[in-house]
Order: sequence, then structure tokens, then C-alpha cells
Amino acid sequence: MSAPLRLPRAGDATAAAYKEWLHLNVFGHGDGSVGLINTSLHGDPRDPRAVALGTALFHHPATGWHWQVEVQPAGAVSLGWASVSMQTIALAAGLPGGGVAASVDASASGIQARLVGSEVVRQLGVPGPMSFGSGWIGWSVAPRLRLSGRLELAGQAVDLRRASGYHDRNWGRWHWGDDAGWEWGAFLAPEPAPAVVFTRATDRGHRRGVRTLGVHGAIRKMFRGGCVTVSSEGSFDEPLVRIPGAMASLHSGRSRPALPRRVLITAEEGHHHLRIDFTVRAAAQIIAGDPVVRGYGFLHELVGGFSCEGTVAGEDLAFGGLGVYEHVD
Amino acid sequence: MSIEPIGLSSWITAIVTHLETSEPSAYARLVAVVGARRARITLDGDTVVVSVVRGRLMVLPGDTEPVDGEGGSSRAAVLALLDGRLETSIALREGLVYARGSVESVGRIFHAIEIVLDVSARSPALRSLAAQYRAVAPPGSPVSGGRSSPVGRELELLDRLGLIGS
Repeated sequence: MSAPLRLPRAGDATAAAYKEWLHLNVFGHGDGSVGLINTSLHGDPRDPRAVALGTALFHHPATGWHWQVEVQPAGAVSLGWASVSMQTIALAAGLPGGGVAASVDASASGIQARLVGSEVVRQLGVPGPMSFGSGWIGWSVAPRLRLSGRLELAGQAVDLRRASGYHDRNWGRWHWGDDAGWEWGAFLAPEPAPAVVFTRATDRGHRRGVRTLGVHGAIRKMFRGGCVTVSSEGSFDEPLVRIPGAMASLHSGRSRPALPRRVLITAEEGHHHLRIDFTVRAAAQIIAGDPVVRGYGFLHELVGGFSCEGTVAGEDLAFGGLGVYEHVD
Repeated sequence: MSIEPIGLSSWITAIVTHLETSEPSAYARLVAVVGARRARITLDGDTVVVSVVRGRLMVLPGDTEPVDGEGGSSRAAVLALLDGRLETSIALREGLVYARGSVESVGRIFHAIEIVLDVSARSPALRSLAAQYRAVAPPGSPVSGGRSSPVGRELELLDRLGLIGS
């Protein structure tokens, strides 16, 4: 993922719609913790309205959600070649070998992290960009990282020797509030199991859009289009963490979104077939307000456990682990 | 270097000033929503009255009479809301945020708050003001100090309106 930030150049007529995302997921197989660290840019950084958003959001089975949100003017944060550094949250991509470094300094929120992720499965450039809302979106992914460093949740260290990492980047031009959404899931079991990544760019009503399900490990397989189906069961009715709080207060009508308790993803293509059964343990809602036009996007992060079985490239697969399923509208 | 507002009157004046500078159209909507009404606002015992005077939103002394509605909260509850630790529905149910008056007046109080929150997504000045408010002192004690919780028919009404969290 050795690419710089895709900052808009001077004279770019679409610069106001600029978005870019650096993203790291952590799956702690030892204690069941699941979380994300990301930094993102919304709007042309030369525009004083543009915003940098840092988010650290972790769920631990024993202590629940821990989160830290930092919002700063984009012009006030440190932008590196492929990094966004804020006061409490920083993330740098493109380290030698395709690695990632992330830090969170938020002891009041129960999160302390100094993480380095090195690629286990080679990065993947996804064909694109794809149409997305009023603009477009690009995506690249490193499906599995090996993590080192230190991560503490509520003062308890997460055993990184028994953890998996995932990293991706998004960039493009759109405004929150556009007729756009996406579905995305990352399902990681301990090595040597492959990482399984699901994605679909879609409209706000999730009526159209091509689904892909990728198997990334010693065997690699990409399922695309009609051979991938998604269904859900049940209703996740427990209270959500909703951040940032001011946006949650503004959108109190979205405090109880229709979220599933269980998500089933299947893929069948010739003699290849795979089935993911994901059970939601907890959910959070991140509300993204566009800094330039009046509009909002709602990113629902569902964390839990999964089982996977099937046959790919003649090899029978059966494994389970931790996953994140994201539903954006 | 900005000057830190002191007291509820200064905070509200700063919010209104930044709102008008950031999005004049939103300020115009706010003035229209408040109209000729007066609302008494209380935060931890600090009380002011907000009204439109000669076409401009003004902060008046807390003992100004009469008023059409009143609302209030505590600094702890406001910080909990800003941090995402407290849902609006829970804050209302527990009496940590309250509003009183006719349905029309209460609706306009919340509409005015929504206008400010909405503009804050696009206004660096308003976000900076929120950061200043948070920095004045740490949240400290957990959310407390709310007025009496709504009971009986009030809870039934909130439930019917879908305002009670699960």
C-alpha cells in the first residue's frame, strides 16, 4: 500500500468533495476484543471548513465499548506522505514492506495503543475507482497484518501475539448525505486461516451494487457479482454507542436503526463455495457530517464472531474467528 | 487567541455570533423559529432568557418575564451528550435535560438546538467553541443533578413518541 495521500491538487474543481481514509482493524483472538483505529480527511485541507476525524473504537467482551473521537480542522493536523497525525490518534501507512503504524493516546477513554502492522498477505489493489454517490471511491486493502507493539483496553493488555490486523484505504470524491452507502466485512481467524473480506458499494437504500467476497491467504479467490448473496436474521436491539455525541443528539431518530443479529454471506462459483455465518455481539454508529454541504452518513460497526466453511480451489475450509461488519447509509 | 466565554450568557452569545458568521441562512432560520417567543434557559443554576429583539437574537437577564417556555440541563449532562456517553432520550427520561411549556414552545426550543448542532458539522468556529467548553474544566463527576424525572403520563407520551431508549 505504498501510495501517498491522494490530496487534491490546486485547481481541482472537485476538491471540496475530497475524502480519504486510513483504517486499521484489530482482532484480539485471545480475549475476543475487536476494534478499529482510523484517521480520515473530509474536504479540501486548504479549505478552513475541512475536517480531520480520528476515531478509535474497541469492544471488549468484559468491559464493553471504549472509544475516542477527535475532530480537528484538516489544516491543523500533521499530514505526512501517507499519514494523518492528530493529538490523540495517528495512523501512518506505507511503511517499508507495506506496513502500518498507529497510535492512540486516550487513557481517559481506556485506550492506549502503539501498534505496528506488517503485511502477511500482500496488498491488493481493487479495480476502480467506482461510482459512488455524486462522485467516486477508490479502495485498496491489506487483508492480513501481523501486529506488534502494545494495545491496552481499560488498563488490560491485549495479547498481540494472538491477534490479527487488517488495513485498508479509501479515497475519492463524495459528500456525506449523497445517495450512497456501502457494506463491508472483514473476518479473520488466527493464522494460517485466510482473511475473508466482503464489500459492496451501493446506494443509500442498498438496492444495487456488485458484491465481492475475497479469500486472501495461501489460497486466494475472489467471488464477484451474483454468485455472492447476503441475508440477515434477527434484530440487534441492544443500545448502540453513537459518536460523535453532538451528531448523535442531532439525529436522535437514528438511535435505533434496523440492524441484524446475524449475517450470512454465501458465495458459489463452479466448484468453489464458501459460507460465512457472523453473529453480532455489539454495535456502534459513527455519524459523519459533511463539512461543506448539509448532509450526513451513518456508519454502523457490528462486531462479533463468525464461522466459515466451504471449499475453495479444491481445499476444504473450516475455521472461525472474529469479524466486523459495516453497514453505511 | 480567542477569549473564553464566562457564564451561560457569554456562551450563548458566542454560539449565536459564530452561527451567524458561519451560516447566515441558518441564523435567519433560528430567528424565525424563535420568533416573538421568550425561553428561559438554565445551566447549573445560571439562568438567562433568550428572545428576538428588533430582529436579532438576544440574551436577556434570567428574571425577564414573561416567558413562553423553559429548558435546562447541567454541564455534566451536556459534556456526556457531547462525548456520546448519554443519549438524548435517556437524558430526557432521567430529567437531565428538560423543557417545559406548550407543545409549540417546547418544539421550537428543540428546533433551535437542532439548528445549532447541524451548523456545527460545518462550522470550525462552533466546533472550536465546543472544545473550549470542554476544556474549561474536566467533566469530573458523573452525570447528576437533573431535575425530577418525568413520570406516569409523561413517560407514556415519550414512549409513544419513540423518545425512550431501549
